[in-house]
Amino acid sequence: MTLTTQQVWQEAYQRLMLVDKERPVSEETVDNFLAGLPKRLFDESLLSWIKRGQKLNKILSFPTLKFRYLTDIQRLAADTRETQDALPEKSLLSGNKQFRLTLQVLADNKLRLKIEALNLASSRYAHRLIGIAANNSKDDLITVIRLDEDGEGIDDTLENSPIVRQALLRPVIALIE
Amino acid sequence: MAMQASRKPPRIITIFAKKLGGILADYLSNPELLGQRIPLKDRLTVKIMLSLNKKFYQRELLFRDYSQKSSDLLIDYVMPKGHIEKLHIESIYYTEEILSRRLTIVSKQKSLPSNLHMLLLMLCRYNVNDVWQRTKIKRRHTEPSVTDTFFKATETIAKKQCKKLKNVSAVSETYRKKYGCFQLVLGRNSAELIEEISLFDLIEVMPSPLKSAITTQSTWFVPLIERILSSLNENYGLLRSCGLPPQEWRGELSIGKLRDLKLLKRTSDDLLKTGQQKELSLAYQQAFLEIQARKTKNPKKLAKLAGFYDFMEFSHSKVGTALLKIEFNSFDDSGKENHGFADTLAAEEECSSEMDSALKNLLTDYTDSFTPLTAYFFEQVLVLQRPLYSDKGLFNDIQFRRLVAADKNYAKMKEEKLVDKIIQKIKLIMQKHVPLNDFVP
Repeated sequence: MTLTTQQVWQEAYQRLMLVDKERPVSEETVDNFLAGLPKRLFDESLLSWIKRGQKLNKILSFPTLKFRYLTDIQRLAADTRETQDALPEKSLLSGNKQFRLTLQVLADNKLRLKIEALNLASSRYAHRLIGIAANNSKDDLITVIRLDEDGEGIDDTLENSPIVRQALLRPVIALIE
Repeated sequence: MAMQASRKPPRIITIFAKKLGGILADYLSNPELLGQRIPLKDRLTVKIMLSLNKKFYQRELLFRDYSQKSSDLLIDYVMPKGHIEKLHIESIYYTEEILSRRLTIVSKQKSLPSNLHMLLLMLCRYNVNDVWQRTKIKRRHTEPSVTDTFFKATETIAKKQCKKLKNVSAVSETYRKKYGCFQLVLGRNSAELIEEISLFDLIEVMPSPLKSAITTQSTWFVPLIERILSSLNENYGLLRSCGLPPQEWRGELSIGKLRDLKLLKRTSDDLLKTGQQKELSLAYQQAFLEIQARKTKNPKKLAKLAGFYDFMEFSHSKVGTALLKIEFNSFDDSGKENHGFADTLAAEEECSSEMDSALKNLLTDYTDSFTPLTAYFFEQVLVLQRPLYSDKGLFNDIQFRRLVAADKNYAKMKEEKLVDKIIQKIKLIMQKHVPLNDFVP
């Protein structure tokens, strides 16, 4: 094949237009980006991971956020109705009997999670930030909710995803400071 | 080897393969990245996503929905230090859905592994522990077993991955039954591998760190990644060329149909561009008839185009309706003309050594037009296609540095601005010899 001068200049132009002029992403940027993210949950999508990190960061800067374990909820095998991530039909009571968790499936594949501090705990945790996590670690936080003056709080933005449902099998309740 | 791309990949895939190869080699050979709070696989995912988030890849590789405002396509990510990083949703989608796609085996030699399996095998052999050099991938009917402790971690992850991937394609299932499942075999150790593996599964299961020699391995590493990316990107690239949003259309149309649609769109665009047709639907109709006529071998039986026998059938179909809504002269938010979706992805012509030497000859034929600096840039970046910023990049080249320092117009410029300036200069040289209108963007 004989190339014409026009074809050669054309090729040069194409190559010139495809020069990657931007600096590559530095490891410092990656470190900084990751610092704002909790650990990625098993099978969690990239978008959900980023959104979860941003949700936590909106409430409190994730790197400085302190996670203090309060209690957890142990669901009975019967609750799971033979599937691994079935949502509880009844409200769940925490191990220390101070919190009640109620879940409701909403439209648009969302979940509403209501947490209530009971009895004396309602005044103790009123206006405080309460975290719900898959495990005893801030990396596994699914949501953070600020309780109102009655010690109640709602999050209706949770995705009804397998990861969230898995996390709600044995959720940990923590005080976020 | 399975999954070999039959066509030369689009240029942007070659460029991205070099970039991805560099990132993978750096990450997998760096022992400091192991055992950190965020696992290597997730760190790598973020690095790739942020790299794709650069304007270059947004422009050249990712789909851009011109019916939406730029701001609707961006997510604000607040960095811990307060700075906002704008994340393009398509860079997240591409990392998540396209690069994470599992390759199915379509080889005629059905017992052979996919290119991603081959990449896993080759990378295992680069492990710092030389014992991994004897790694093999085989199909076996026998149960996997572990006798050495160093193999245990790999086997555990591989097992977890197999458990997670409940369903494989019917084709893979057939091969599996007939030839046995894939196993990573090392001496008396073996671990079952998933039949359809993804790039990120591979990173997760692969024993690391690797020898730093992988960072200089270019004979097989980047070409293999290029073939993998070609396969992963094919459907996405064709949808992009047609202007059909991949998030909406992925998996709806076969590769053959998409190739037809791409040709149809391009022919119709040409008819509008040259003024042969003024209306989009008429341009499509003419293009449809022309291509169909070319495809028809037996005049008594019209050939199908993208699965349709006639234009009416096409225009009333879901895909036809969608394509006929995409304006030829779309404008982006900045008001600049959009030259189409297919610009760089369509460039599939051979980049032969003949072309490389012809390009180099331009430097001697038009020597008066170039300064030493622009000539060196032209040779290194356009002819040899050297990157700008990597270890072996132009900015680490002493000769280039000297040429920059010697020219007072450039000496104090920041790197990105300097590149812009040199590119502008070379563009002017090109325009001097070939009128701008003659360049097909």
